[in-house]
Amino acid sequence: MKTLIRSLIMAIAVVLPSMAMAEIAVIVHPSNGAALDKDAIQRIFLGKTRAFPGGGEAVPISFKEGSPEEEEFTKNVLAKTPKQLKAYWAKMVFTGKGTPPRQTDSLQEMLNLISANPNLIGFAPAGAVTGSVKVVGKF
Amino acid sequence: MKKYWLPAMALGLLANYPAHAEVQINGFASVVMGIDLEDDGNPTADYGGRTVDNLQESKVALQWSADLGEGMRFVGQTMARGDASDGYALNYDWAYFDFNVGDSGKLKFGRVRIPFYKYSDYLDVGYAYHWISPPKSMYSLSFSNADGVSYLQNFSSGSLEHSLNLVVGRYQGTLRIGGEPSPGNLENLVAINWSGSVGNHEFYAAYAQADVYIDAALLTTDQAALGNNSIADLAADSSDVLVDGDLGTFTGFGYKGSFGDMGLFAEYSIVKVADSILQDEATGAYLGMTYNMGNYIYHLTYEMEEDTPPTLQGSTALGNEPLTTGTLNAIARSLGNRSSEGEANTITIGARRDIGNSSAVKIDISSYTEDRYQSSAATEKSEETALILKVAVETMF
Repeated sequence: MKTLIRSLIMAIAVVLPSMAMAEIAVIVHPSNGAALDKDAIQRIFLGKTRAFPGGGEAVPISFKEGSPEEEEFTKNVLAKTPKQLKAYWAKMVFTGKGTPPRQTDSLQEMLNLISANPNLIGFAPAGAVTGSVKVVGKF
Repeated sequence: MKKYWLPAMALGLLANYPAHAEVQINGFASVVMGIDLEDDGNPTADYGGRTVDNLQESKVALQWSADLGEGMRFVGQTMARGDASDGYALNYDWAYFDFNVGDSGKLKFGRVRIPFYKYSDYLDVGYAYHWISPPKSMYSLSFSNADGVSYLQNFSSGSLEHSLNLVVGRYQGTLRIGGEPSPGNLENLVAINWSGSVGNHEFYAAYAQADVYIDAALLTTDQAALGNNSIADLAADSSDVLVDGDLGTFTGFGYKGSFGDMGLFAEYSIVKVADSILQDEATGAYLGMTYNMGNYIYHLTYEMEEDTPPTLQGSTALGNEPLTTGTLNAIARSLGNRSSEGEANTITIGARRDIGNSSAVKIDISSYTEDRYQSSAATEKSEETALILKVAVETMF
């Protein structure tokens, strides 16, 4: 029995990190008190609104296109495939209705930006989030 | 999509706008080749019989936007469209300032797109849809932009996302009458478009109106038939035929939805121009479906159009050479519409294959049949067909 439990714990220990990578935390500045559900986050990241639900300018920051973080966020939060998202922004850009979020290719820069500016909203692998930012949802 | 970042971003100074505007450059290109596989003449204006034409629908465009700070941008789009006689003709399709209004409003000032159809806004960006070109029975107006003001407001109610677009302006440029380009003018143009989306379903309704002026030129054959008379002589009251500030209206509806790998598309529109030689009513509609399979999209579309011309009464006003009612109406048909009174339908099947994240190769084949009064034999309807094969390579960046 002990061996079985030990094996299970080991199996969980092996699997957990990869699961943690798959879970995405949406993050804002610690002072940001906006109530953000999945719909509200989608609206901000798809350029449909420029404000947080309770007011205040909202500027989304994304990871570089094609990065694992961006792909997870696109799938889990925006509920789109990379191709659908590409087509969506093609329509928005070439209709003058909006531009894709600004991008960063560094996790550290993402955390630094969010922790320094209450108007920003971003995301990061749930396991990599530090106390300098506030998690508003995990997906 | 390429973004050019200024060092300010790396420093985390996002809230402070830099002294120089951040400029974003995007672009798209389509190279389209087509051929009418039938060799008995082509009733459509698209592609010659048994001759490959690679310019007609090809285009290349660059769009840049300068972020001017404080929610203000300037957007310009230059597009070179393939033209069989001129090669690529370059135009400014868009040139406007836009201002953010509130949390989800946008005001544009300059040359803007008129929101007629589902695909109006990105009509030229072939990459954004599955056909090589949207159904022509619907997308038949020869203009798509206006100089004026456009206001767009997004809002939501429950899970329904709304987008309301109002355009007020004027169009001056080429309008087609009797298939011939003529100087035209649309004054007091007002267009309103509501679109809504819930989940994977999108709907829209649009209405537009304008005072239409077209300085129509007669075809040589029609002028010969008219003798010394002019277009104004075609009716007792010349304002019944001349396109001299007549009210033109556009009404349209549409739906687009996806059900797993299947997509469903439908649009319907009616165009009317009152008291003129133009068609009383032109109706266009299509119903289509797509099936996604990995990098491939297969599609099938049925489209129809129906044009009803005005009926002109008598020849009493013709001072110089009285004409019969039949001749009058034959000329009216020839003048008033591309192919005059009648019906047409098209069945298109095609496939699109995505290459990477921003390019696609497409192949479409369309079977077109019309039953109309032809300008060469304007006294009775006759059937004409075309079988058009097109291939395209499209990209955006």
